[in-house]
Amino acid sequence: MHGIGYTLAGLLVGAAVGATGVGGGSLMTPVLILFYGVAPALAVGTDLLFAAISKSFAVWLHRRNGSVDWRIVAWQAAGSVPAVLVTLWWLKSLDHGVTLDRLIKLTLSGAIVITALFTLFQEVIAERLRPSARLNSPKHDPRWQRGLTVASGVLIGTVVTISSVGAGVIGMMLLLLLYPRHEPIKLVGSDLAHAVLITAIAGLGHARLGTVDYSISAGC
Amino acid sequence: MIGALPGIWLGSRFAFGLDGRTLKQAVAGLLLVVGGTTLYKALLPPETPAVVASGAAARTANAEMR
Repeated sequence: MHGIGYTLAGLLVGAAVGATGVGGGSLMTPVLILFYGVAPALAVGTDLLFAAISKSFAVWLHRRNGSVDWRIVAWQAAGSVPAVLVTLWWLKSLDHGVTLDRLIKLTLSGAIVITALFTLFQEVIAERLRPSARLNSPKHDPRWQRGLTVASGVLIGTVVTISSVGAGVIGMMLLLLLYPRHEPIKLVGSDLAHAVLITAIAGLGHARLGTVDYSISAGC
Repeated sequence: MIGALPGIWLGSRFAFGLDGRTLKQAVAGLLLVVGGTTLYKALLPPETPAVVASGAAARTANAEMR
């Protein structure tokens, strides 16, 4: 019975993603926790591995079209990969019970609300950024830009490892804020490539911690 | 994965006939509800296991019947 339920959840979340590009992790993880009673850590680990596999197809396409800026990915990864590893180590040391569950739910709810607000105001923010980008381009100060890109990597890496949410919409909005003069398609490709990297590392880390359920991921 | 792949295909087909902004607002609204519910659950005191809770309710009902 649960197998059909997981497939149905995948179908509904997939439809939301297909229609709007939003909702992969931010809908799937809470749906597993709230409606199917999956333990929060298990839902996060499973969603991370699922995201790494599903997003890698999109990255392959972007890479073929040359719409990935690998320098941005590298600078973000310089912050996010160590952050993911440190967060995994920290999660391992936490008491696997109420404390961990509460931490995941709190981080998850915060990340979902931020994702919702970014989704609502994405166009307004992007529009407002355009004039300031022309007047004061961050390209004039690459050290500032690189530093903030690494810092955004640390933030995304930490939030994604705890909640599985943040690599998509939040990552994209941070890139839009940091690189307003870049072509949006290149930012999408770079965000996806970075998302695959960190969700794969975090997902494998969660698998090592025993918080991945492969049957949920497959939908059976 | 079995559900998500056809879901993405269905969503992308279905979305063509609809206003993108309205769809995004709908998903954002859904996310706010889901985020709020998750926050509410996180702030609740640790749950009493369902079995214990139902057991207690059954005991109370039995006592009342007696």
